[in-house]
Amino acid sequence: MSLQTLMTFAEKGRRFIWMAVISVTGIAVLAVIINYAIATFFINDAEDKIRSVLLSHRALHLYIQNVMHPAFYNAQDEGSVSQEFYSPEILSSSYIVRNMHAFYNQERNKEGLPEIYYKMASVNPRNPVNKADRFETALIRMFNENRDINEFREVINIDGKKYLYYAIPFLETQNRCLTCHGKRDKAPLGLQAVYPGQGGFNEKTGVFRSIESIRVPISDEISTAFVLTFSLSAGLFVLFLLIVVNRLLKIVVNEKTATLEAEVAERRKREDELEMKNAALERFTYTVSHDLKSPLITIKGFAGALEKDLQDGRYERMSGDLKRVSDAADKMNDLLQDLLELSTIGHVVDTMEKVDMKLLVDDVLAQLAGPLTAHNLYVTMHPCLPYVYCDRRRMSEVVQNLIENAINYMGDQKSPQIQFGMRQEDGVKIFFVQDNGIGIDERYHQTIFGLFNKLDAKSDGTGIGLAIVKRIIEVHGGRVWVESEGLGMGSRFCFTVPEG
Amino acid sequence: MNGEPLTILLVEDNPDHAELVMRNMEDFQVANTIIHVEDGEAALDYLHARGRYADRQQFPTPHLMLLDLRLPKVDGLEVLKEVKTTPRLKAMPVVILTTSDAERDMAQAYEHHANSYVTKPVNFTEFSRLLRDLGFYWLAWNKRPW
Repeated sequence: MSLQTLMTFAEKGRRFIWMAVISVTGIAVLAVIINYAIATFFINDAEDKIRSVLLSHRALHLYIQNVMHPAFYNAQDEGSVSQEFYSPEILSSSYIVRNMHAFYNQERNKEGLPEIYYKMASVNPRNPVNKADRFETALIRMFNENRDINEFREVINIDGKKYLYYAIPFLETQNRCLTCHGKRDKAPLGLQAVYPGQGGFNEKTGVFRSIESIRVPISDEISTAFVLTFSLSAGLFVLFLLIVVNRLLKIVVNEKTATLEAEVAERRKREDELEMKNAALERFTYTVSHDLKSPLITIKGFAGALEKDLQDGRYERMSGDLKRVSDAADKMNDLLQDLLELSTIGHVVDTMEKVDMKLLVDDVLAQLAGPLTAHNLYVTMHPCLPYVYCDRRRMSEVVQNLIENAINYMGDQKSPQIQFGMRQEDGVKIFFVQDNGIGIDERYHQTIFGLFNKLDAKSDGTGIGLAIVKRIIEVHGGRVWVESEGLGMGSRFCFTVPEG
Repeated sequence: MNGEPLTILLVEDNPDHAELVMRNMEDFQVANTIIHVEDGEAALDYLHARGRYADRQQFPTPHLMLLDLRLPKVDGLEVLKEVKTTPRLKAMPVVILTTSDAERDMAQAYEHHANSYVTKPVNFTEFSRLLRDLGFYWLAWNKRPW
């Protein structure tokens, strides 16, 4: 894995940590909201039930006070009931409702429902059972002082269990209530007999003298809410984990795939390179074996011919045949030297330097002064040649080979011209040696750069010049090619050298 | 042998090798005329009676072609291809006479219907014998319908 892929991997990892933090926080917030919503739903539900119980209790109070009491007093007034009669079982709404609630709980029990705690709490009760504790006393005062508040609700804890506590103020004391709740000595005699103390007397009108309160257990509902919330959050978390794991696996797999693909591409590239090198080597071996064998055949052939001529007494051909043998040996020597030369070009990279192309061409022209003068040739040059990054000696060889070729293949041109020029194409500087000599047919534009390939078998040289040029330019990372309109139209040998 | 003048076309870029071939052929006197051309282009010009070879009297269609593979301009394989795909020429025996014993060259030559493939022996005696045998086989023993 490269440094870069490692870094992107780390970057992705960091991004995932952030995503995880945000997601977990999100899930937690969601869990709190869900829990609150579910709990609120259950509490509201419980409250609705409580309220309806309290309302029906209050309805009973109202019935007793507004219907039963007038009917009873009427009966007393008519004399059908004794004026002294009093019984809390028949006349006290508090008593009746409290005992009715006991039956209510009994019925609930039968149905398997939990009991509902009910209490009418009073600051000044007749029955001590109804005595308000400190908390209830405070509530009664609160309701009296804040007339716009008509209910109190709270979730409370008793012995580690959760309850919803709900209280409403009891009916406001009115004038008719004072019949029994006013001064003790004004109250019915029967009442005075049943309740000997001052409890329940001396009330004032316009005051809430008690509260009705109920509490129901809501632990089950709260735990249900908790379980629901927990399962939902756990589900979300597992989902999130799956997504994260999936993404991470995908990243790992993608990374692996990319690495493998890169490896395969690299290997294929190397295989291609190797194949190309092999092919080049094969061509080289083929050429070398063919071209070295050729003079051998000549040498052995004419040696045999000489022997035969000697036997036959044909002396007149012998000196010519001897010359052929000698020339073939020379040719072989030339070939071997050229091969040696070609094999050393690969070491060029060690000696790369910044070279003034103008000075380089000037040097080459100075070296070629002899042949140029002999052919009455003058080489024109591009006015501002740039610096190039190259092996000076090798680049000189390229220029020299190309100019020599231009001289050698001038043909019978009456006004021979050679130009060392430069042009720019797509920002690339292209150097060229242009002549107005015999030109080259388009068919041979590729083959002339091959090893020992010659268009004219009788011309001087082994045919290695352009092969050397090509090799040097390629080792420099450049390109070389020929442009020619065809025979008789001159040639333009072009090459590029990458700028250092 | 029916007495008609026999012509061999030798396509060989190396003048020394051409000289060796011609000397041997002359010594054995198997052919009346040996015409030597130095590259593939000249060979095709000759076979198609083009340019300087336009005169069929002076430059008759050969009875045998000895063809080198590595030639300047048009290479030997191209010449072979053209001969074997030209109806008027394809019956002419073409013997590849080359320095190359590369398998690829042989395979390609036969693929393009070369009639024979021989490599030039380095040994002079063998060289002579090969040319004698070739000449006798293709021009004397071998029957042809024209």
